[in-house]
Amino acid sequence: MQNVRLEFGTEQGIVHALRGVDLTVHENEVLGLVGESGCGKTVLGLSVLGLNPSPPAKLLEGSRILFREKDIAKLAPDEIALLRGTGISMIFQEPATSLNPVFTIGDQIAESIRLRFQRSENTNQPSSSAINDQVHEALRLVKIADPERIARRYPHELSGGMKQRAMIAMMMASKPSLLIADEPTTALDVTIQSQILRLMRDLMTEIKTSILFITHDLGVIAEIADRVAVMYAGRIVEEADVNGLFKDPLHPYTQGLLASLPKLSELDREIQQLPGSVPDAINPPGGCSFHPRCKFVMDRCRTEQPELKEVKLGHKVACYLH
Amino acid sequence: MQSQPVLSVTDLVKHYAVGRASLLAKRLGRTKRVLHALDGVTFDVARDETLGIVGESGCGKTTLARTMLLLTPPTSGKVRFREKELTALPNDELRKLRPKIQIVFQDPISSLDSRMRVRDIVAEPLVAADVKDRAVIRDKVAAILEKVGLSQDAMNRFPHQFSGGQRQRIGIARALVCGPEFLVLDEPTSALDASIQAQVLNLLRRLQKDMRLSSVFISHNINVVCYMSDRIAVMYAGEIVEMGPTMSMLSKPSHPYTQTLLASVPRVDPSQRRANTEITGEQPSPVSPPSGCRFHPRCPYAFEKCSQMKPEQTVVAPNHWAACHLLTK
Repeated sequence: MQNVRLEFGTEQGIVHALRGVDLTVHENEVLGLVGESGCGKTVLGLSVLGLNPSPPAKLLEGSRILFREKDIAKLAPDEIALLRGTGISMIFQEPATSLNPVFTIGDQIAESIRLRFQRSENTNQPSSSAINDQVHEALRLVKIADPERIARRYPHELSGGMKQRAMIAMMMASKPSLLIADEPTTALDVTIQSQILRLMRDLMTEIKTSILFITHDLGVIAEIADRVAVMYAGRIVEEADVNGLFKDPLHPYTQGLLASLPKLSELDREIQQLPGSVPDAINPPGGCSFHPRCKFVMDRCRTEQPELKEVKLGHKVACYLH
Repeated sequence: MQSQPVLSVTDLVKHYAVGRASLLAKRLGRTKRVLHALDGVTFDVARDETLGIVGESGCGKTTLARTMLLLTPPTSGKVRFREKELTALPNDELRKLRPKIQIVFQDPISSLDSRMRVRDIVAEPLVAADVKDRAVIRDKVAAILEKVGLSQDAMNRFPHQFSGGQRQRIGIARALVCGPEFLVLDEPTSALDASIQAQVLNLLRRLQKDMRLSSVFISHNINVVCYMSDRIAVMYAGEIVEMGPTMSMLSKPSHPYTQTLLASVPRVDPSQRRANTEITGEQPSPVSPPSGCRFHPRCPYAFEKCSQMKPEQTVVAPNHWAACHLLTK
């Protein structure tokens, strides 16, 4: 993504959801995108697949979203549709609402397999028994013990963890080269979350998919990501490999976010709190949008917007302190 | 516990009848199916103490919050507050005690009436407690709003004009306005962002100290529960499986479920990625909980006895017990 800017026209005014995002997902990596609610992380994920309803969403001139060599920002809607489920797939937060309640799990996975064939140049459609085998294979891949039985179930008959597994099976069946996972474990319990995270890691190596993993949970990021991008008020404020970011966070926002989490190893210490709250996306503060909450604020921060710059090898930050 | 407990819960049970028994089942003398939301929960909370209750969704945490305050009547069991047995009190007596035992709910949107102004929301417990003097009410509301960090002009505004963190402060102000001695906090920060959660947690810690509150802090987030609580109880499928002082629970988790739960918490440190802490399966259905130890179908150490007999509480450290057959094996 290069200089991606996206706005929503609303009755209250223009919501500046993405304000110049530069982001790269490399092959075979998990890029964690972390930020608090309203920072634009979901919109960013949706914009890769052209899924933001337009209008009101409007991608501004100069935004480039390159997938392989194609600029998605310039593609016609039906060309983007061709990419969905073949080149790029998406998993959403709430497995219950993203599955269709009136079709069985098997039917829904089969649909994604059929679509992949329709959209590829391959003209011979596989037989339905071949598709069935692939459905079962996909379910086995997500460690569902009894795929034949689960394939005949409807979504409401499965637990949250099982539904999310089925969603992942559906996405993986289309063998995407990029998977966008928007808070895929947020609705799940921790023991189930740890199962799903592990599963996603395993699958990634198996079918060689890159993952853009969107979450508000730094703990989840620490578990799964190779690299991390921190988002604040529609911009990336810091980007680094996962160890570098957690060991040596450079942006005051990242530092504040990390310090605000209660840690089991430091229970007697009072957690630090960031003052204030997330800024309004209609009227974001001028200059660096974090400046009203920043304890290191300088005059310059109020008027000029810092660029995302590489300050150490592989570690970028948008802050005048560096 | 040395001092007299402020609140004690003894063998609290809450069952819900679900569905309808089929004609055949009725003929066979079977009654309705029963959902076991809470099965024999017992604990004390001492003065100034915070007891944390942690467990996954559906384990009965929220049912516990509601039944211990008799917001829903328990199926059986006792709740004592100071010298009074709440479960035996007639309604009007119970009502008189309500100002002393308050609750903060999880969702700061649905727990505040969107058509009431903040001053009326916060004043409602006072009105319910028959405080008639308007000046007294106004002063109390103003004082408590200040205490939770809201400005005075918040009074005349409506809930939707506030952010999530501020709304939760309104909920906390409402719970504290009568000067309660005991507070139940049911996932008070799980709807909030990390930086806002930290603000609310620190506020709650300060208020607990200032107002000498005893409380029960319920959450699915282990880090948050540990941060807030002196003691912790771990719930699984409607039962407490382990309880003890926070530090002891962390250094010596003794029930396999507690161990799993602790191991499943993502560390905020990529260098500590877990290699191998795998638990399989999911929580059992509360309609037909497993026999014996309810964790046995998922437990990596389960042996024959686990499916046959309910494990007893075994003391593993001072004030720290766990209910697991491994400990008596």
